[in-house]
Amino acid sequence: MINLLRILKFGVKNFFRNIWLSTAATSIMILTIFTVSVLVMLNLVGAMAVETVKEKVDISIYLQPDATDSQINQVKNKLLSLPEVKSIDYTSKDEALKEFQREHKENDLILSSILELDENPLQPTLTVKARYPEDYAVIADIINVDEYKTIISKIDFDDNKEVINRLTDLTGTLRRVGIGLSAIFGLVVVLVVYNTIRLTIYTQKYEIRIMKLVGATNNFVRLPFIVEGIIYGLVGSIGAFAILYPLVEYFSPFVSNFLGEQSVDMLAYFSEHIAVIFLMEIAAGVLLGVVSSLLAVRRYVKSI
Amino acid sequence: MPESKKNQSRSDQGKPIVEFINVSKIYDKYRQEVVALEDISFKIDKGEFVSIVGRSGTGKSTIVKLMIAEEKATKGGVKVLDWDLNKIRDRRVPEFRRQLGVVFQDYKLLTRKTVYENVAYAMVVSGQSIAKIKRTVPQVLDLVGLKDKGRRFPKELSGGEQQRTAIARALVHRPELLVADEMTGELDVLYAWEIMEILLKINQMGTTVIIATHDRDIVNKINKRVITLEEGKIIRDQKKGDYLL
Repeated sequence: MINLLRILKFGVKNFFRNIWLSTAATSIMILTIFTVSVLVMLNLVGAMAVETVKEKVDISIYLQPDATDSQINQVKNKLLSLPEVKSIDYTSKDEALKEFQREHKENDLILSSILELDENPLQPTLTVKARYPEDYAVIADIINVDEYKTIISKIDFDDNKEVINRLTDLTGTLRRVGIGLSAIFGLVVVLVVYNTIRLTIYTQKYEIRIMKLVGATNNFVRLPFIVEGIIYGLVGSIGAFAILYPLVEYFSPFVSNFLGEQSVDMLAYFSEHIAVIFLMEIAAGVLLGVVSSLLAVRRYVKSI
Repeated sequence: MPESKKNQSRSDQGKPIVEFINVSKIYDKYRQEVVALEDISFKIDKGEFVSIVGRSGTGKSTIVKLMIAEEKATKGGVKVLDWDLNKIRDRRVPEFRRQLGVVFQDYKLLTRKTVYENVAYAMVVSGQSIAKIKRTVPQVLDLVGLKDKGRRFPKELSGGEQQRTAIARALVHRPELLVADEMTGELDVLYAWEIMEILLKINQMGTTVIIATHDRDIVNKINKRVITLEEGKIIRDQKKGDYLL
């Protein structure tokens, strides 16, 4: 117990007495954790954006106004049998009219002109959502055959084709780049932190030798360095968090604007998960500090 | 047998505190064997004050390194304070080292610690209580004349003051054996004698003292046992000796 307190004390003292090296190690730690956090946030925003756009993308299949229920069911069942299809939404003629009236209730001219017609001119519609964006083309091709020509008046897919294709590309690229960048960066970061801590320990290899010659056990030499590593991690993660939060607060409206709808609210997400994010950063920082210190100190402590 | 009468009451009197039995030490330098010590044997009893003398490179420092388990003998047996240093396990080396005090040639002070902390460190490693440390360290600093310099860092001290800090650290945990390697080498004559007086005082209080030195004047002045080395061999071992050559 008394030794544990002493080890803690030594670690804290060393941190402050070696303030330049500590500052270097801590800054690297802040940069590291900050950059990784930003990468994770970007991936998250990307995923959320893609999800939002995906929700908005669909195929509308306009059916002939005189199509019978059995014919409609035929198409419906065909679609439901496809594994690519996630959901189908059927809008009948009457529902389409109600929808139309609701959408244009401010515009009397349009409303009155549609009511002047003898018959409801709107078509029943099947709205199809696919599991993956790249499947829309497949679904459209399957439906666009002679068999259904008599039932279907129009497949509204071309209008969305551009969006869907771009989205497909974007999701793939974002995922690949995100994973690649994170992996490369993670490796660089571990190496940099490890080397920084190793440098601070290297400057003290004579001290380590002396401690051992005076009768300190390996653990008694090693643990203060580990404590120092923990402090680097703690200060680093708190520092990174202190930079990250205002940045998120500042950029959140831009991101929302850029992506159009209010569906991606970074700040709300961040605030909601603030405790988890903070704890994760601290855990990552401390782990990084401890592992780096352990690896770095191992070399100099071993020999008698 | 020990010269000091103070030790005759001790129960384990008669058993040597340091024993070298046919010890050889061969270094492997650039694939060439360098013989540092060749077939050396001697015994040092409790309470003795022994000077190991010889020119530079005759193996004095090697003997010190073997005595404090910094290195292992190539051949022969080394026994110190009832520990067989040929067989000592790495894990138990710290325990052994806490039982002796060592003053190194280059002082080996911890640069990031103050004088007080450097001295206290020798007690801290063996888990002594804070109260005991607070009581003992100032006493020892006083003994070596550094009472007011406890808060300084080593780089703020003169060479002599650093030396005394190193002595204080070697003494603070009351070791039975004090080993000093070439400690008066870089000091001026007057100062070296002052240090030697501290060591004699410690010896009178019952601590066995072994010094490795090439300072002829000092050795001749104190008139204690002298072991003389030449080219890795003992050429003379006198109870009340001079440093000839």
